[in-house]
Amino acid sequence: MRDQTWWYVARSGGIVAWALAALAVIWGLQLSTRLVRKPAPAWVLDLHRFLGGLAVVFVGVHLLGLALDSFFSFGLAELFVPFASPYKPTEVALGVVAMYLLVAVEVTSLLMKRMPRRIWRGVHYTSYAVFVLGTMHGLLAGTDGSNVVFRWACLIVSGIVLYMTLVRILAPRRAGASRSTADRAGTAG
Amino acid sequence: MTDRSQGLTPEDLSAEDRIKRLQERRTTVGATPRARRRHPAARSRALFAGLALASFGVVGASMAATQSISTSTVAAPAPAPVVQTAVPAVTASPAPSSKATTPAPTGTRSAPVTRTRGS
Repeated sequence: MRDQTWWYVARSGGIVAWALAALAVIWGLQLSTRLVRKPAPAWVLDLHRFLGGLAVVFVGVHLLGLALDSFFSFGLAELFVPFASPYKPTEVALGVVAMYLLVAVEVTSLLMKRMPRRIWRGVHYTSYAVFVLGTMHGLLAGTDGSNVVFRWACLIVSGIVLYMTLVRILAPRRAGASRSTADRAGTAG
Repeated sequence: MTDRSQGLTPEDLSAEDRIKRLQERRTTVGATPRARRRHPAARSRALFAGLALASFGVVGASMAATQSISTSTVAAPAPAPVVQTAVPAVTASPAPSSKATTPAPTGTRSAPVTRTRGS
């Protein structure tokens, strides 16, 4: 392994995890708002779940890269305990909290049929926090926060998420109708 | 007629026939449609997984390429003795790297060409 390979793995894994989490949020909002009419709800739901799972996998890659990188020698405490990192503790803590929330969303989605709907929904709403915290973590803690392409990507994706969220809030009837569609499909991931 | 030896009534036989027909139909159709029904976006899943892996590689490679370009451009003026004094000042604190602001845990910073964390 080259000297900086794990450092690139960590950075690339983090960016891809952020992109996948953002896509999962957008797919979820598409499921509830049905802004685009054409894709079938079952297809959107299936892909929404898959993207969430894939985001967790790439968060794992991000952590693995950080753990194996010899420059900072991140240990388990720095990776999993908020504010334990000597490097930018607050900015890194945003990522740690986002990771825990993402895992909670995934686990509750897997156990959805075995738990009360209200609890699942409450946990699932924290995916907005996952997106916001993850974006802030990438912009503030990451080396690529100063990268123009990454900044523009954050801006565009945040705009899309904000717009879809506003549509969902301001159009409760449509959201309610599609939610019942998702319920009929068996799940609402 | 009822086949009492086997305990089957005509109704049972017809039900048995139905089950046999269903089983035959399943074997002719195969297991693929069932799998597709379970994952309506199976192809899209594979596509997105491939895209994620490809972008992971492309992003990492572009980072490495950018880093090697920046280090080579920084290292280029090194032969001139006057410039040499300025080179460590540039490489010791790579401007785009946010990580560079924290003190290095080891003395590896003394080798800036291999250890800079820019771009």
